Amino acid sequence: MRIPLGDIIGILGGSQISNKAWQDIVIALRLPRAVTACLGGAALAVSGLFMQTLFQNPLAGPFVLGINSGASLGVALVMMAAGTTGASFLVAGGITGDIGVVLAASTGSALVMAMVLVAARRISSNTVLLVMGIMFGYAVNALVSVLIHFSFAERVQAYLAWSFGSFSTSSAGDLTVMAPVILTGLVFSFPMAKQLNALVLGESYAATMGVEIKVLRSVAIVIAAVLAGTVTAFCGPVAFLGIAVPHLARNVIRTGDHRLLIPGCILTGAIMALAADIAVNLPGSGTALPLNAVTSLIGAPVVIWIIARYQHVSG
Amino acid sequence: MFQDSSSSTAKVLETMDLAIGYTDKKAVIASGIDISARAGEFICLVGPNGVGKSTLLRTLAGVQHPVEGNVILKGRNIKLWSRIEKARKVAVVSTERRDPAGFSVFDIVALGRFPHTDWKGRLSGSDRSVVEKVLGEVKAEHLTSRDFLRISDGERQRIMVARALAQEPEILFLDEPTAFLDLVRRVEILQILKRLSGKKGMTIIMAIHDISLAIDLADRIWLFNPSEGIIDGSPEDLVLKGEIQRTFSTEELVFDPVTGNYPSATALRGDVSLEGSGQAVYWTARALKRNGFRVRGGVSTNITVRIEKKEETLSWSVLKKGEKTGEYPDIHSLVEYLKDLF
Repeated sequence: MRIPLGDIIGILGGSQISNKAWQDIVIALRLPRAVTACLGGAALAVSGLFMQTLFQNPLAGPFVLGINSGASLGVALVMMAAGTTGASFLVAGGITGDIGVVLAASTGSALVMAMVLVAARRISSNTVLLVMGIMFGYAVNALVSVLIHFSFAERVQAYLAWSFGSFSTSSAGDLTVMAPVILTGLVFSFPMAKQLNALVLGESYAATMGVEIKVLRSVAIVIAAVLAGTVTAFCGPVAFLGIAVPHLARNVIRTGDHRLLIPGCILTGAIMALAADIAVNLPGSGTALPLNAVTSLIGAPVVIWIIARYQHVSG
Repeated sequence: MFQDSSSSTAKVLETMDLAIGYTDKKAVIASGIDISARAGEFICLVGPNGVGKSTLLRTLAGVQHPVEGNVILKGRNIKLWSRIEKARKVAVVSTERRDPAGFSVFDIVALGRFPHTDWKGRLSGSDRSVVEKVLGEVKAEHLTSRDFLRISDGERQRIMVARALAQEPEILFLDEPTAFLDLVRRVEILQILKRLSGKKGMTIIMAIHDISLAIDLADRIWLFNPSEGIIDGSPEDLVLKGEIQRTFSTEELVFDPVTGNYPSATALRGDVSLEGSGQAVYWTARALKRNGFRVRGGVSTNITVRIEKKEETLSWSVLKKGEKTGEYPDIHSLVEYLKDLF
């Protein structure tokens, strides 16, 4: 549907437009969708930044390390095993259903992330860690497949649609859960900046400078998992934004200082997610691509570039 | 018994029946360690590889828990210090190496202000002047705005020392800070450290594998012997008592307490006496030793090398029973001739 730009500005400004349908589309569909994309991009980017610093690994990110898969498993368990009825599983449970899915996705993310982190402490090679993350992802996806096998067709359908990823699935109602959770996560990420900066020289240096490593690691895992998990719960597993955006932000503002990188990632993440969502519905094309296809097309080359660039470091 | 003459300076660090190792694996590396360090002392920790020097340093710095016994930092058990309190008194330069992107040299050194800044980590004017001051102390002012990833290894190690100094510690621990540096960079770092301990009264405790450098530099040596634990003493005392020789000699290699080094692998060719003055004597003697000649002073030998200087040009004459048999323009041709002679 084509709506003139002037009218969109008018609707957003609160003035009454003659075309009621246009007003409904902008307020009920497009605005929540844009807000969802901004929040989702920002959350995934900050989550990826936290993981890269925590793992001391430029290739860490919610998707690459299989953490999205953990969230997917949580979501799959809630919607297929526990089961909700209705056309859209997310809307069906109302607010309580949403919170259940957020909790399941966050818990799934946190569990996989903790497992990968334990493995990362024994493995120093970036490449091995990356392969391990992919294996974790496969294993978790296998469990999801088993769940699918024993589930009702319409729920499987809903799950598959969700797994393509989209910023459009969430309505204004979903946003009342998603927005506060993500905003809280983002607000709590700012005070972590000083501690994360101390971590760039490695954990043992951080410890001698006064960082309580175990506390920092636990808090950072919870924040990163809640951010990535919440986005995954509502928008599906969105590929590559989490790993690619922190590198773009680092390159744009040319610093490793987390006090600047956190706001930088929020901004870059929001912009990239909006851009991806525009590409999904190329204006005038009338068709919609899967979100994951678009983010992968942007993200995969960035990851290849990172691997090439850091090769001398990973060894 | 002798009196403890150094009791005028307070002990900044002391251990009581300390056992180090890994509590979770129930592995004890060494036990019964009773050592102490005073303000301003330069202490070198030496010992064979793998004996547990890094573990000892980490335990003394309060990063790792003792298996048994206690570490007392400034009169108070180190267990009772919070991480931040400790970081204001104790700093560490470890062997851990990371390559963080997007940090200038100034940023990296400023990380050392961690225990002094507020929760936001914002640098105050005094924080900035401390960073600038410590960059000066390691002679790295010119690197201030350089990318941390684009400086040499020697420069990087000086910056890591500056980062530790930015914590304004009273005790500085260093784990093999010169391990991957060439001789010039190594001496450079060690001189900076020596100056810091002398001028600022900072206690420096450093693990180092180069024994001859340790003997040259240290006020005290902690000799970590795998079978006997830690032997504490001045370098000279430990050499005279034969402790260093015992720790570092094997059946094949005997540590030479005179040179503070191991003898060269070359077999002995013969005795030579050396006449002359200035630097040339020192460097000629070195070349002769390396090639298996024993340089004797004040003992008459069949062969004498006489170094002469005519109009700023050096020449080396060889005398056999007092009679001149040859004259050479450099040490290389002299040594070649002497090798033929013996």
